Amino acid sequence: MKFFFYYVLIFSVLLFASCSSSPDNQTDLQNLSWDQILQKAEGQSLNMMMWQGDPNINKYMQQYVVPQVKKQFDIDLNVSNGQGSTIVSVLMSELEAGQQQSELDLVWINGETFYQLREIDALYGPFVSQLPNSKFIDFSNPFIKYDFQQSINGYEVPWGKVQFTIIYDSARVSSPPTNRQALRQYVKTHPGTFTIANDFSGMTFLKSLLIGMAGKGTLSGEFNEQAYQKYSERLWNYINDIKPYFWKNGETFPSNVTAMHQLFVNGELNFTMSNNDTEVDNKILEGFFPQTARAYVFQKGTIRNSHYVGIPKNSTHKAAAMVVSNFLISPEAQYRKARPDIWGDGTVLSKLKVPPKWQQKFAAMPQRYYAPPRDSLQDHALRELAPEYMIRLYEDFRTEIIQK
Amino acid sequence: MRIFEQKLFKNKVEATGLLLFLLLAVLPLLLGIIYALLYSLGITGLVSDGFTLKYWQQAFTDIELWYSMGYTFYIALATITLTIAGALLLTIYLKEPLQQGFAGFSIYVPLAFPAIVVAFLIFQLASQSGFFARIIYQLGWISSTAQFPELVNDTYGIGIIAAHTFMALPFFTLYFINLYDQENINQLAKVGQTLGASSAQQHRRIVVPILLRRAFPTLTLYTIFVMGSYEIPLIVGRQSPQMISVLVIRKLRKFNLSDIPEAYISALLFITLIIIGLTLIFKNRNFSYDLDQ
Repeated sequence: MKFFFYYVLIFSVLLFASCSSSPDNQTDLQNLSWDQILQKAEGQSLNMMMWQGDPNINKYMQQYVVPQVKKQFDIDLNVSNGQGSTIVSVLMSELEAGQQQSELDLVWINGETFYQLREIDALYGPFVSQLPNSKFIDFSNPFIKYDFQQSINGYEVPWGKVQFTIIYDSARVSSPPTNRQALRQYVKTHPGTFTIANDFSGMTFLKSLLIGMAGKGTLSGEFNEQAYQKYSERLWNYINDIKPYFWKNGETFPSNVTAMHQLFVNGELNFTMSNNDTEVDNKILEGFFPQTARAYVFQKGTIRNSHYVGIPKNSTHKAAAMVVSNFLISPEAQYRKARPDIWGDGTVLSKLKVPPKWQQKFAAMPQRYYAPPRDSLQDHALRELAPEYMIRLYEDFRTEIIQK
Repeated sequence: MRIFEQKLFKNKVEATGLLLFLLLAVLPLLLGIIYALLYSLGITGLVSDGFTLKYWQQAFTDIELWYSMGYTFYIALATITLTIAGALLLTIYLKEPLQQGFAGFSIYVPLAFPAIVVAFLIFQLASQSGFFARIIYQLGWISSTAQFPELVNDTYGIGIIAAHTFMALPFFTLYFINLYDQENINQLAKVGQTLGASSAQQHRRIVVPILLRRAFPTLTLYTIFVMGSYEIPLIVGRQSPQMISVLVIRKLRKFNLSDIPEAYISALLFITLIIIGLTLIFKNRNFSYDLDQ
């Protein structure tokens, strides 16, 4: 009997220990000068979690950022793999467990993750204005200032700017559809060659269609249930109408855009999609996409958004995280990242604000060949909608399309 | 009380062993289950608003969850049926060759493959743009690779079943061959033969029942293992229905954080069903290897 008493006792202690909350252990860096932050960061080791699904991005991080921050600031940067949902799970579990020291010090986030992390108050900030290189960023630009219509308020550092593009194989598609009607026509006459990934990219495509149906500006601002109901119904009717002509008769969908790329290069699909307008160029340079692949956008436009880095509230190396963030938005790091042969990620720096030497370098940057010039996409750039639209699209895509 | 304690444990070593087992294996699981339960009732969790039964109500009325459970059972049963049939055939008809030479070595090869690698292999080989489709296309049997039958991401889970069977078949073949020798089944079959049993009767009445009876606990546990698999259905399964692990992870990582309790409920319901199933199956058995049981 004694045995069971001890068992229950240990059990209870562990249960309560796991549920106990802990006080906030913030170290306030807001009163320190940048030199003091640099000093504090020296010799620190930093864990950064980010999506590592692209060899170019990994190469940029491992062969450039990691050695540079070591050399310039004596910071050991460890990069680990994890998409937005993983980052949210890790930070949420840590907060739920009352863990005061986060495993993560810097995270690559965008819209929906920012929304989730702000919802659970897992981000440190505001800190962005303390970064010396932030003076090169035009924070009045709505594509930078707002992340999914949420003001970033100094809680995340803009890192790159991209626009959603549709990629097709010009050897198989002579004139790609540039609006909904043409897409419907194309899909019906070329069954099995088009589909939508059930992931962030696919939902971004649907969002572009939704905005196109509602008209530019109709859905901006806070989430509007009535408007969503009205236009999403049209969207689902449209998709359900052409779904039988999708890949595998629309009975299943690729789980992510990587799987879709694979189907595209295998020749099963004539189209794939990308959130990065330069991806077509670097995938051709890599030899993964055929030389005949091209990127374009619909006449009514596609979503343009920025992606950011943030510092978890319970990071124990915030100073180092700030120094690395500052390095990531330095003209040299941004220039390198923007080159199509490196990563091709659009810079967040304002070409008017960077020093003249860098203005020239950015102007003379090697051009991409297989996607329209970034400036020409500007006229077809749509702003992200409030995060709730994405939540609902994910949900309803499953119930209205996949399960029907 | 003393008598009770003496009955419970034969000696101190046994008591310590049991205590360690409970502490290291049972306790964490129990804590996990209780945590999931609290989470599902809104009692804990960062975004919880206090006690509520709404998530449970949602879960019970969620057809997708029940569909997913059914699909999971179907995949596991189909895999184990094919595996048993294949392993028995191999054991009965190819026992000798499989114990020597190249064949003997090759049967170990699939055992070295991690599930995720097998999933990718199946995908690369059996998809409509995969290796087999291309060969058949090159041979001119089909006019486009899209005419190749859907074997991955398909409605009936053929890809998932194939991947699992590929992994389980060598394991159970080796296991059956071992049991065959350990149980002297050969001798028993000979006795049957002496008593006038035909070859088919020997297989049906002696070899197969002994092997299945001895392997029953392992087969049951392997079925549960297949039910809980993640990478294979993730890669070669389809978006709907999904096997339970894929469904739980999807719900756990949903964009909408207030849906997380549903993930815990899905997992809890699945565990409950498994425990009920195991209780019913092993109610009149124990795990002794005594064939008289």
